[in-house]
Amino acid sequence: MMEKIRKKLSATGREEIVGKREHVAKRREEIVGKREHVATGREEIVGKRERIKKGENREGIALEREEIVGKRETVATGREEIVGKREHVAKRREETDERYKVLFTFSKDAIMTLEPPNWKFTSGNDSAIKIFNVKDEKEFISLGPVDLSPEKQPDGQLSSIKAKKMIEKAMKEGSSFFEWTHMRYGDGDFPATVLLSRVEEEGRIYLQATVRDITAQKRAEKDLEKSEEKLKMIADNISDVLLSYDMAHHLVYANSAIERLTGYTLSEIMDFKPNDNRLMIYINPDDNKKITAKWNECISKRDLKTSTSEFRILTKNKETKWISASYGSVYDESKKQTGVYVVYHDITQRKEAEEKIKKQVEQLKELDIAKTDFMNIVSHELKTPLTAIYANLELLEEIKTKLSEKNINNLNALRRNSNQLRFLVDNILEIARIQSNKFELNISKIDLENCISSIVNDLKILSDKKNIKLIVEIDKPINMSTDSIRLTEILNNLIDNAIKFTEEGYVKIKAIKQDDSVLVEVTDTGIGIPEDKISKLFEKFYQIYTPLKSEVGGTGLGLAITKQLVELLGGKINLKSELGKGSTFYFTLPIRYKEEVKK
Amino acid sequence: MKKILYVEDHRDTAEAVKQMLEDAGYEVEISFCGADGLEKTHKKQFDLVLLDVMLPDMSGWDIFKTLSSKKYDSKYAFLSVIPISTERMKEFKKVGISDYITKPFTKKDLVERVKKILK
Repeated sequence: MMEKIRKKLSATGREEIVGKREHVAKRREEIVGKREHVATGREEIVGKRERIKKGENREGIALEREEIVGKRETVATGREEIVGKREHVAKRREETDERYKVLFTFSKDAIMTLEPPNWKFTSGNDSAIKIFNVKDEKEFISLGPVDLSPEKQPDGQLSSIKAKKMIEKAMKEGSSFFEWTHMRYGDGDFPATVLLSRVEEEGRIYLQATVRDITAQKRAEKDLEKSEEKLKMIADNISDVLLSYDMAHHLVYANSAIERLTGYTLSEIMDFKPNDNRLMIYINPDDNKKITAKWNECISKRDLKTSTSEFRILTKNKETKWISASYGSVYDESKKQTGVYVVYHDITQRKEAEEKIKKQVEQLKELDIAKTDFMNIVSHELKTPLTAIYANLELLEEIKTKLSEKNINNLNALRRNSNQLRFLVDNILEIARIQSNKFELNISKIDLENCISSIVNDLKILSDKKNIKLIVEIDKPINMSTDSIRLTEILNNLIDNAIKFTEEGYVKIKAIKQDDSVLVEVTDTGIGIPEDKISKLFEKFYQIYTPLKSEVGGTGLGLAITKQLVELLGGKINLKSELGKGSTFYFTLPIRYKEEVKK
Repeated sequence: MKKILYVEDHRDTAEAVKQMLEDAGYEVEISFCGADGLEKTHKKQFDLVLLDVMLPDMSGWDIFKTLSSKKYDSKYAFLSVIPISTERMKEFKKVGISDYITKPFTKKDLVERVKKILK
């Protein structure tokens, strides 16, 4: 870029100089033309005088004399005109010379002349003196170009040989323009441009040289090159791909990351001619439409801030990679969009991880749905006939009074066993639900005393029937954060069991606060549990044989459910028992339920 | 007399519920599948449509969606063995489901809740 601009600038300068020279040459021709005209007039007069001298025809002579006088006058007029013109031309010349002198003197470029055969300098302007670090023009004209050049030029040629070539070229072609490394007199080198022009003046042929110090320009170029190099290095070292397109979707720039990403070389990518099938050599044809749509958006949307899209590419090794591309507009100085830049970020790993997770989630979901479906189906299949039994039983019970005692017993048996079946179904479904992890806890703040009191109130009917005392012992208010429904279920199961297996005496519920947990004990004065059976008590469907069974009922699931609920709430349950004397079931629960406790 | 349509594929349940509601003074029609239930709504205007959730041809939910999208002017309630959370019930109320009765239920409970819906 800089190179181009520089050349263009120098060319303009040269045109100006050439133009001015042509103008001076034209003026000279004009003056020469006028001189010739005056000369012709003189020749005519001289011719006529000679004829008069020879004494030819007097009348004719008289006539001719008049003519001659007339002509003389004309010639005189012509002469005056010529003199006028000459003065004008001289003035013009003076003006031109003056202008040239000003240009020559004050030009920032070093201007000098050098003449054959030894091509020493014959003149030099102030800038030449200054640029080449010589004392004065006198010293300057003692030197030649080779004296003010290093031994060798950057291309390795000897300055003396190369200078000769350049001079020859200018002499042959009229001018020559080139870069040259000059040397300040007794000082360092500096880069320059040199324009040599052949000048022919009054039989003299010499060269005029215009030398421009381009140190600053070279430095700027070098700085630019350096910063460009730096940018290129950065661009080539980042893992993301940088691309730049013109408005016709031609790739104008790509960093080397594109090679690493696609496996194609930069030239393979640049030289690829887009076809209907493929927009770019590495694009997955399935995503052509997507990319085309995005491109159209990029070139039609005003103020495209950033826009992204995700698509696949196909590497040279036929490997599919996922790309997240960001797009932005490139503008010129007048804010006119001149292109689009694109940044590719390889998101293959992320996409693969996403796909994997998606698959896993789908699998899990399927499993989950199957689980809930199964649970729902079992629940539905078991409860539907139960609903019918209950509804019809209820309708029959309405006419109980019209039945015989025997039939009433039949109806009672139906009711008892329906209850048993319903209890069993409810318990089985409950335990299955707990184990399916479909179980959701509903944590809220509760007052333990209130909770126990309401359960005791509900169960009082049963204890009163058996004349058993229900005692509640809570030392101080205990505020908990837990699932109140589940806690109620736990307490209800334990207290209900205690009442069931106690014939006389009491059932005592005691709650003790300990640090960040609470200990709840349910003690009865019931039949007690043999020591060897204690460990099996919380197992599913385990029931101790008891002569009271038919009366007491139960599914063998109650304690298993209770244990699981306690554990779900982050606690532990156990018991101590003495056969014939009674049992104490006790459990602990954290006062504040924490999610991680469950895990 | 208020008219109730009960869509329930379990015939014994359907007949018993019909009897219970008729005893309570309602006019009750029963359908054993979703298609028949929808057909009946074309012929008659019911004040309450009671829906079982799992039906052989479609779900009770589908019937509700079909009828409510047609702006069929009636109350809706589900009778189901599947318990639901209170949050879910709130969502149901928002879309126009008056109640959700868990099976099995007692006659008393059923009649009271139907009465409340049709009040």
